[in-house]
Amino acid sequence: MTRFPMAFLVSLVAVASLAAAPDAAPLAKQIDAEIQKKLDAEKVPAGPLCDDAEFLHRVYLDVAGVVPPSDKVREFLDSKEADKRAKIIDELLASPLYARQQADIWKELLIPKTAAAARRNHLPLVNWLRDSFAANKPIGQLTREILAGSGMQTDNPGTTFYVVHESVDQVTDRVSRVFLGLQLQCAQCHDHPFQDWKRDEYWALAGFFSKVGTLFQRVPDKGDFYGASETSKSKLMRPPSAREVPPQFLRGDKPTLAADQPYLPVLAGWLTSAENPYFARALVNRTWHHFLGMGLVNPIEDMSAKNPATHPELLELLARSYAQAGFDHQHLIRAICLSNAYQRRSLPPGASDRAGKLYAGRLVKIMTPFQLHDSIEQVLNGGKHKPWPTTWEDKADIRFHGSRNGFANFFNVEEGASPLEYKAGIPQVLRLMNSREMSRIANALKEFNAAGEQPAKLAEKLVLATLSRAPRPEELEKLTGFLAKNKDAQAPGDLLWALLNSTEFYTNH
Amino acid sequence: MISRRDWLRTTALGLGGASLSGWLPRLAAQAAQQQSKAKSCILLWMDGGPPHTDTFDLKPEEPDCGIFKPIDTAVPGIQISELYPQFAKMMKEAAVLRGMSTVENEHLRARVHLRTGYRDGQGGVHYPSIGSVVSRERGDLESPLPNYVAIAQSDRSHGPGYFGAVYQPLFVNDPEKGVENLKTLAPTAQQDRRFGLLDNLEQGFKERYASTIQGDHATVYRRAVGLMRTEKTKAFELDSESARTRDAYGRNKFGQGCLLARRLVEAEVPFVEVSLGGWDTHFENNDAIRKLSAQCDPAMSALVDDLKQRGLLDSTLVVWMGEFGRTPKFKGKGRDHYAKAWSTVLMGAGIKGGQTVGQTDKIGATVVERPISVADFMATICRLMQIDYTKEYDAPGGRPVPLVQKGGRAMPEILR
Repeated sequence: MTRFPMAFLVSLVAVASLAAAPDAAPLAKQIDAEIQKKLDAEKVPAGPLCDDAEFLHRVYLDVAGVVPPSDKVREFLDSKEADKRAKIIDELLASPLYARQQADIWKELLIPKTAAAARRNHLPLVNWLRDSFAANKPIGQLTREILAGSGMQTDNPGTTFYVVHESVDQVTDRVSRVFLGLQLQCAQCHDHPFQDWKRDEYWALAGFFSKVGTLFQRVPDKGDFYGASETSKSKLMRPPSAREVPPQFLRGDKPTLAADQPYLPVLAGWLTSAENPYFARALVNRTWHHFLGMGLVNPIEDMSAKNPATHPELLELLARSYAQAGFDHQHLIRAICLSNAYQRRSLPPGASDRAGKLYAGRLVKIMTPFQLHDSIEQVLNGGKHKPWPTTWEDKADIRFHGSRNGFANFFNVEEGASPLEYKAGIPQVLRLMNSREMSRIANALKEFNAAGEQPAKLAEKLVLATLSRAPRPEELEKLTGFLAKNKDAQAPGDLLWALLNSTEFYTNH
Repeated sequence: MISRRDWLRTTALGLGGASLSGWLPRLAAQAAQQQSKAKSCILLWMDGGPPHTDTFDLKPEEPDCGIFKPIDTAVPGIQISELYPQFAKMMKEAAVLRGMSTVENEHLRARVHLRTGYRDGQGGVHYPSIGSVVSRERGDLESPLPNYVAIAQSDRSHGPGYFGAVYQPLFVNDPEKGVENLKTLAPTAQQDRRFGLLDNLEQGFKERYASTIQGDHATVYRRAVGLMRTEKTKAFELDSESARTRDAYGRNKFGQGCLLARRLVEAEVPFVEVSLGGWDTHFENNDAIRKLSAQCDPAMSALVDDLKQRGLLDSTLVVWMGEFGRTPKFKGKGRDHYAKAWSTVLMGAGIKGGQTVGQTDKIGATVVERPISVADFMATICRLMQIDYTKEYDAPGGRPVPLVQKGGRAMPEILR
């Protein structure tokens, strides 16, 4: 009796997603009901919702990966529309900025930081990720195309995943972390010390990758091209610790595989099926972490049975809804952003750790390296949206992307660090204070101060472009006083310098 | 009923059942403080795990264990690999620990294990790395130079763990470039004006938000400005060394990193790590080890020699180690990870040099004499650095955690 309605519901959702975005408000309400249950149980009062400026700043960074441009801040603060928050979420999800940030996130997840990976061309993958997220391709399909694609990178960009890995164990580790939310790597050499993963379970999962190898073509005058296929003779390497175990789904069936049959589609099919207990949970946990600063399970890539969720029912609810909606990523994001849990005001000083863990208020997060880069670029562009080149066709494009990636690597001090903890060190801070990038402040001011603004007006413009809000009265008084007192040409630049170096600029709050 | 936390507190004070054994290392550690004069520690980190049977624990009787030949050293009876001819001459200064026996076989976990002395995730605590421990115990927070410099690719295992951001290392990517962006075009008066504005903004943030981020941000800025304004950053300028000295260390990143380490130690930086990566030789071992050793031998030898010439060797502990060893027998052309039996080297700090500690079996696969656990190893480094390794700090949640996990004992063989 329960089966039929479930199947019916799934097909309905699939049809609906073709027509119009499904309504995410009911899921947002369910999220809040789960959060409230726990707040009530521990008798912790929920904090108030954030104001419009705070919301806009937050949702821009989380969805579009950059602080809002000045004109957007003004427009949003002036708007009297009751549903303006829901509207801006939709607007940002439909913008190329959303697709770009998702491509940044997934690129980091899929490409290892190794010298060997750095020598390969990542561009086909990055462009394809961007197009996939722009089209809101279901994540199940995206995953299948990454794991089970075959051919050259240029035709099948998903195969880049194998091109950038050297060995079967590297692939197995990454697939378990990213798509299963599990740390299996220790089981490569021995049974896991703290969890119950067995060495044979690891190599049974790794068995699915035993046929995959890389393809290589040298085209005269055009360069070298790579790809991956299960019929390639240059297989991924196997470490000496490898065991010969027949492929088996993790804690699941041992599929019957013919020797000449490709293994990867079988693995990808199991992985992305709605019944897989790991896939949906891993993806919703990672997404929740991106928006709220913590996972429902922490660390987010260690979702073993021995590491319980803070809100188990919420995790199950999100995972179930995600699978039922056909892994519609935008639907999940819309629901999270519409929830009160997401829209609460940041916790004030003196708030307890517990209040943060229960989502009674929002936690302050550090910007990601890409967010920091793109936000600085926008401010130095006079607070105006700056469209980045989306291709690498000419030298200027290559230089731009090269320096953007270089900046991100420099600020990515510790891979997988919590966004709630400050990790920048002296080198990063020196770069924000003294680098040649920052010497462009003088040029930016020509933009901000083109009309020769009065001190109060200029101070307001600079605060709006950097902190996405109007200056507070006492603040405006101080900043105006500073500009009125210091009439030299450097004074406005010093103010912008201070704003760009402030904690408020560097954080999502 | 006694709560878990009270129980931990009680035993920590020596009132529980473990009182006697709790006292012994504490007294011993205090005695040691009068012996060692070490002020600084240089960690030469061989990232990836160097093969003990190709470097400091050769098995010439077993042709399967490696192709490199043993050579005599300055100490009769001690032989090391032919790949370390310069270092062989310095054996009087070194203790080769051939009894290392640890429990983590995977890189990230083993890096955490060897840099912190604990197992990753043990008790749900993020432990501080040895660099953070030394910088906290022996460094000066007000010093304009950082207390912990890592000439290395950053990794979680370098981190300060529950000690917090103040004890994180200053990473230097390229020793030739030193600390980048140290100079500013803005005159001091203009800088001060900027900091005045920044202060105002920070105050506003602090009044509105609950977060440790603002405090950490302010601390890092304060230290960065201190660094911008001190003459002591001349320590980072390798150009002031003679071409001869620079050649002696080797004109490569690791060699110049070791030279920079010496300069930083002269400037009283308490902890410097210099990393040499590429030891993870699963697929091809011999050529890689030859190339790496050709950088490692001159650099570490020049470093020890130079420290000695300058009268700094007695006050500087030099540690050579990776995260584990490698399988004594080949698997194809490579060697796999191996934690059960492997070698590290200690030099300087007034240790008893010219000796080996511990012994492995005929093929280097198990430790047959004097196994050295990670806790003993860490305790030894702490004691040589005059740090009381039984000292406890409160980890998040108020749980007291000793610097070195219970059971660790400094190795008496090493101390004079």
